[in-house]
Amino acid sequence: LRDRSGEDEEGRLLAELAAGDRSAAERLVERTYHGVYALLRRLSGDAELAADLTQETYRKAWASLAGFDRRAKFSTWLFRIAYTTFLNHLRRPRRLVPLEEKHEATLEDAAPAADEVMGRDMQGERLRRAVLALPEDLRRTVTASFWGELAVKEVAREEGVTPVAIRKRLKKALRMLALTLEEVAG
Amino acid sequence: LSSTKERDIARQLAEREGLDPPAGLLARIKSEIPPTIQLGAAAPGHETRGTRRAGEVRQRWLLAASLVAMVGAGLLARHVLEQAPPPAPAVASRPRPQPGADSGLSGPAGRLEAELRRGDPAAAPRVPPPPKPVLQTVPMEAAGGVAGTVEGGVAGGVVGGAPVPAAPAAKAVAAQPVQAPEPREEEKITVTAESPRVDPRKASPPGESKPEYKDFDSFEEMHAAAKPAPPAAPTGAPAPAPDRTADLIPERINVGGNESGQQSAYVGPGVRAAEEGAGKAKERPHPSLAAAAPPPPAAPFRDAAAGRRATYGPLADTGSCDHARREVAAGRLPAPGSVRVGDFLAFLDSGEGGRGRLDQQIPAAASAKPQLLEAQGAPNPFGTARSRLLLFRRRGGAALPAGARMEVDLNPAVVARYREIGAGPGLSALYEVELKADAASGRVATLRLRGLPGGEPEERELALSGLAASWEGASPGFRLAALAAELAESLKGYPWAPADLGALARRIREAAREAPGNPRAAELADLAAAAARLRGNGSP
Repeated sequence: LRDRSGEDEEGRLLAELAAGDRSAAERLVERTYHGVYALLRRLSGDAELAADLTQETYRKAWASLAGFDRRAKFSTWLFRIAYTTFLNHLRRPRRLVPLEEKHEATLEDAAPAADEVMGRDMQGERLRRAVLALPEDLRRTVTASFWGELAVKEVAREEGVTPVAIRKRLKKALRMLALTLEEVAG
Repeated sequence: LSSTKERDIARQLAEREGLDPPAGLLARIKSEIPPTIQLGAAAPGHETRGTRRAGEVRQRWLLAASLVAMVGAGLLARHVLEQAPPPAPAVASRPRPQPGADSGLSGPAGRLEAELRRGDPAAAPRVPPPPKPVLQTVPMEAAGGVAGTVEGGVAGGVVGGAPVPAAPAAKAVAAQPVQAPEPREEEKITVTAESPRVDPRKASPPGESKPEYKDFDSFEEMHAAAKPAPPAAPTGAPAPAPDRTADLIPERINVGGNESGQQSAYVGPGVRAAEEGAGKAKERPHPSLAAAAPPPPAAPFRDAAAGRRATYGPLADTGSCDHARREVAAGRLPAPGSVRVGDFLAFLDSGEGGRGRLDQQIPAAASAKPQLLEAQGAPNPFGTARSRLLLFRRRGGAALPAGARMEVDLNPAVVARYREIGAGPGLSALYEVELKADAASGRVATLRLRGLPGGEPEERELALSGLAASWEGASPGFRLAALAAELAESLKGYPWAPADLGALARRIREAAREAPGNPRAAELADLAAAAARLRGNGSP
């Protein structure tokens, strides 16, 4: 129900945007930028880079909104742009070399113990790398489902397959991730 | 245990902790919203949710109708089967012919055989002794190669057990003393000895060297070479069976890549050197393949651990750029491997009279001359918001000794990452740097000119405040150098370089108009425009 009302709201904002209301674009950004940033943060593992890529995603979105035919939801379309932006960036960053070793941020005293946080960070980084190492179709599916937080039906429509096929892909991907992480840990 | 692990991974993937966007990001995004946005028309059937729902309902109806049709067809088929007269037992229960088993014939031959089996004495004299099945006596190779075909051999019901000569089966069977009556029914049995889809690569004995895909320009050439020459048949011997696998081309040759068939573009640092060191380096590929092969993407990278300083001397030439111009004039793009970025910078420098080779001798007093070097920087029009291009070179007209060396020292407090794009002989070095997010002021780089008479280096600093605020605000010379490097990288086929050479040519031409003193700029624009036409990027 929430999804439908969200979809209606999105449609209304797009209609306003088409009518020339610039504030509708701002409201669209407000609705979606959390998700786009979260996706890119998970993909890149770098907060600053994710912020830059989020900006770039919207820049591209405004430029290509004329080609948006509303077959998919606006947020799904935005996910596709963000994902492509990240993939393009994957080719780009290797040309730049870190000038110095990146220092980890100082851990706060509160909450979990330092070693626990570090362990969790490492685990998260291993998982991120394992996801990026998945074959393209599985990586896209995992990213869309877990990190893009798209519904299975929506992912299936994007991929042009059935929801059952998406579930199978997810199952296979999780199995592969488990194996990869076991190998890394072992 | 495994499913628990997978569930755990799914839970980790779905975690949202620490994913809040930084403060100010929303404002940054909003500030970039253009004043007017053109929205595309909705695709038919996607205007409203109502129409989509109608489509879904229609789809369900179609599905239901299909199911009803299937069930109806099944019932009809069953009804027809029930109404039809029962088939003849001989036909219905005919087993597949097996060596030593009943022939399972129908018609007069079948009746004859049945009488024989029942021990009917009247039938006994009419037929010869029970025959051996044809399939036992006909050599399969002689009967038609890999996929032998026995035609009409069993049509007469009973065939003789005499040896069948190595000839096509139909003829062999026709020669047998068949006494049975005329057949009423004909059968064709196709016996396939092995799958026709044979991987020809497995056909050669182990150890035999086979040509590989990389040795050929095209699949046709490879296919022609891979076809084995037919062996000379001895006189009188039956013709050898045609090799039906020879005409097969494998659908796909796996030359690497991951499970989904994608090629990995990653080349690990030093892999080639390690292979060469171990004597494992592969042979040079075919020249045409070598020309088409993309350059190793690892080349322009520099390990930060190796230091942030770089020194340049007169090492590059303009040869690569001259070669590219000749190639383009001849109507083809230069081979990516033949393009050197530094040579393109050198080509541009050579148009400026004062920035030739470092072969001039200067007096010792010249070391006191201020600012022999110049440093410029501006936002990178092809990069991210924090990307800047830096150009370091000696000042035009400055005379330097041949042993002069320029040293670039980047400041890690301001620069997060860097890339050395290229360096020319006139002590020109172009960098791409990514500034740190919190860098607001400070030194970006320090230039040192060493090898001057007197031994004391000349130093020059480039501050963040000294960078141009915009690309358009940079000097034409700077823009030309950056665009020349981009052109070279594009011709090299680097994935991050601008693919649209037409747009690049237009930019070069614009900058060239602002720098009329350098004739090389216009030549470079011509090169870019011609390359754009060859690549199909349109004619600028």
